[in-house]
Amino acid sequence: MRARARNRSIQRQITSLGLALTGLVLTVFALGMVAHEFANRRQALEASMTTEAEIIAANSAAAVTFGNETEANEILASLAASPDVLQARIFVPGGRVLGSYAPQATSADCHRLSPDGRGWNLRWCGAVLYRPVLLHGDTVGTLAMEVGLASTYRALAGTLAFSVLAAALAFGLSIPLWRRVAARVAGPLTRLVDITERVSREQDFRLRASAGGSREVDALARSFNQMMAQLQQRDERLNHELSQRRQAEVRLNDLAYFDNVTGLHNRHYFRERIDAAVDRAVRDGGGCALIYIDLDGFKQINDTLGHDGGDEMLREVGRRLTDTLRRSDGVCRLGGDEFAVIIDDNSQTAQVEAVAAKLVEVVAAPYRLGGRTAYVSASIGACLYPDDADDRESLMRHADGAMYRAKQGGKNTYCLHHAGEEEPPSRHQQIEQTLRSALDAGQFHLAFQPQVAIPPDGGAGQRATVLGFEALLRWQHPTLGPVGPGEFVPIAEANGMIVPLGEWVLRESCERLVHWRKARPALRMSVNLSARQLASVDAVERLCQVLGSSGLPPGAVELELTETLLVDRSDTMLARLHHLRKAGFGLAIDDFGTGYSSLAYLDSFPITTLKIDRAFVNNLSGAAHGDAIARAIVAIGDALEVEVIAEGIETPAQAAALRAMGCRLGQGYLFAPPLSDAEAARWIGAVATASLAA
Amino acid sequence: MSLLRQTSAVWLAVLLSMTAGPAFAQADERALKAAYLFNFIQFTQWPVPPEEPFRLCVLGRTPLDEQLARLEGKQVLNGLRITVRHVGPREVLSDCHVLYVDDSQRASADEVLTRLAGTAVLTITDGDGLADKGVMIEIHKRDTRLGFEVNLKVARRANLNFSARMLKLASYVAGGL
Repeated sequence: MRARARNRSIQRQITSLGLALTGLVLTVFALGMVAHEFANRRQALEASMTTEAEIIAANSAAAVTFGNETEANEILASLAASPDVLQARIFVPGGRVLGSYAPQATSADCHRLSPDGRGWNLRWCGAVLYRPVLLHGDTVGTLAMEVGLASTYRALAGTLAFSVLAAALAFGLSIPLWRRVAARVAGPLTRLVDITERVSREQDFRLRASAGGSREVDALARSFNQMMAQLQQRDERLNHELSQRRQAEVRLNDLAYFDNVTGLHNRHYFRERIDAAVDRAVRDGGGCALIYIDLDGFKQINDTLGHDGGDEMLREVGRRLTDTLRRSDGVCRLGGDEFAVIIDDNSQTAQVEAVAAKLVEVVAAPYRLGGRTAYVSASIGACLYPDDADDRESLMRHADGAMYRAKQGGKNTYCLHHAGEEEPPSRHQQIEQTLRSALDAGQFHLAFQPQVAIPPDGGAGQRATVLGFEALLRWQHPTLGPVGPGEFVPIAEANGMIVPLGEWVLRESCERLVHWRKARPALRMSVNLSARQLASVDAVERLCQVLGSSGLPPGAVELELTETLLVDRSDTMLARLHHLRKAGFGLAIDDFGTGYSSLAYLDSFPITTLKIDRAFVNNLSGAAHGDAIARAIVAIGDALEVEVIAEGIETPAQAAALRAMGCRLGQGYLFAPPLSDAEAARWIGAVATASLAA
Repeated sequence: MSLLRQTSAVWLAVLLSMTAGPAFAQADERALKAAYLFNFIQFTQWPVPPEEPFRLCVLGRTPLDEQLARLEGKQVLNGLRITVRHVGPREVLSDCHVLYVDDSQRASADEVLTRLAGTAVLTITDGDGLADKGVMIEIHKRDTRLGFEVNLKVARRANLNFSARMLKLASYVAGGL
């Protein structure tokens, strides 16, 4: 507004400029008219005075020559017909006044008529004309005549008044004219400004300016409209993008909070929901309950029905759970075959128990899946907050514990956790918790099972020649007693303890081997290797260092890999295996034939030994074609030119069969069980050294 | 000023300026008469425009001779030079342009006038009553001032015309308008 006051509008500027211009022109015009009139009057005055003086002078020639004053005065008296004449005189040579005329004695003495005056002389008060009196071309006297300018002035004043009046009238008429011109020029601009202000006020980009006024304003309005069209387009695109973005956010939210198999909420949502439920319970002094549902034996169902069938069953379970519960109870799928329900309405133990029982029932009902009938059961654990748990963590732990108890209690049932009946940690948990300290505490030790050359007769009655040992890890747990590798190795692999543990095993084995090789220089040692130990290049390097520092020759130590390791045929894996081979390790494939490795790629691995699984050895003593696989493995070993060793030999017949098909190496209870350190040392001494058949 | 300094005008002006006084001497009166004579020539129109020399004839010897002699060589009627000639009554007068008959020559006036009757010669006199006898212009003195009367009838017979402005100044015009 202040800017508006400071910058006058175009309309007012044009109007005032135009009026100023008009005023100037009119003033100049009026003044010019007066000046022109003045010049005209002056000329006319001079002409009329000259004519009059001419006549008087001509008439007075005789009077002058004869010096007749009376006649001279009479001639001059004729000037009375011209009222403007103020005075007149006739001079004769010598300066004498022959005649004079002065109608008004009071007339201002403007000019003093002198006999020497000549020509035309104009002053503000009057005009004087001197004329010679001529006779035959000779000057015989002088006529002087003065005329007043009053009437001239009156005429000029009249002209001036008329001019001013006309100019004023013209000026007055030009005011509305200029206003209209200014309005025509500035009007469209003002409308444009109004539109612009409206756009910025209302944020409405659909508004358009109407063209008109002039070409420039037209162009302005056009480009304004183009700009508005672009803005509108951009605005629409922006809105469109925003709405798409909102949809995407909703979708992301769905993805983040929903399980895409069952359409139930997912673990992420469950986390937030359980937090909110516990917070609300704390704030309002109410309570909530958590129910965990785990399907029993779902893995088998997945295997028989396929993944699609498994998913279909999960969806059906989700539907049944949702239908059974109230809308306010949140049903979530935590992953796999695990579901959770949060009951958020201060339910009491009895009510929760009733819900759990009902859920067990609905899940157990038969399923129709793809034309087939299937069954599944649920183990359900539940816990109430704050009655039976202190916080969210314990609520979840207790519900989990209760579910495990339900499983242990025979499945297809439910179990509620009650305050005070804190469960002792499970064996699994105990193993996990004590595994780390066990190594330092010296709870691990090694057992050594001899690997022998199978005697030609199958070993009955004859002691086989020991060629080496397989080192086997044993854990003597202080409270749980002996724990088998099948139990703790997966846990060690899961928490990473397998790497230091494996290193320890290798170091111990090497130490033993060095010691024993003093007596039996060709003795070898097999050590089991976990896939986790090949996961980092550092771990591989440390294994090589352990072997290197032991001083053992290449081939003295063999690492046993599981077949599943060979599934990874990446360059990295191959490079690491080659690295181990270069460092001097032999590489054996443990339990060969049980895994899924493709024989096609077997020769690309730097293998030195195949180990026939005990399952195939067992079959040797049974059915007609029981030896087919063992025979095939031996044949592969021959073809790849690697050693073949059979494990789990328990009977002389098995040993004989293996020997017959060409397998020369074996280990098993037939020859010796895993031995303690001392026993192994004794065994070496007792068994005669035999050279290994190539 | 150059015009005013022109011969006759200056002379005339000086002459006329002397008439301002109420009384003037005999010599002044004679000079004034000569000036009048000169002025009459100026206001007279001849039937045939006079050619040079402009002959101003004076009848016999007169008291005005001295003053008239001064008119010799003066220019009149747009530059004609005046030649003054004294003539006797029996001499040829018809080639005169102007004939001055002084009062003293009154005796031969009748004879001269008879001979000049109808001839375009301007006759001027200062003798009382001579205008009635046939002189065209008669200068006279009234109340110490000079005046003149004109016998227009005679002049017309001689086909001479006078300026109306001059006639207005005449005290009497015989055979006038």
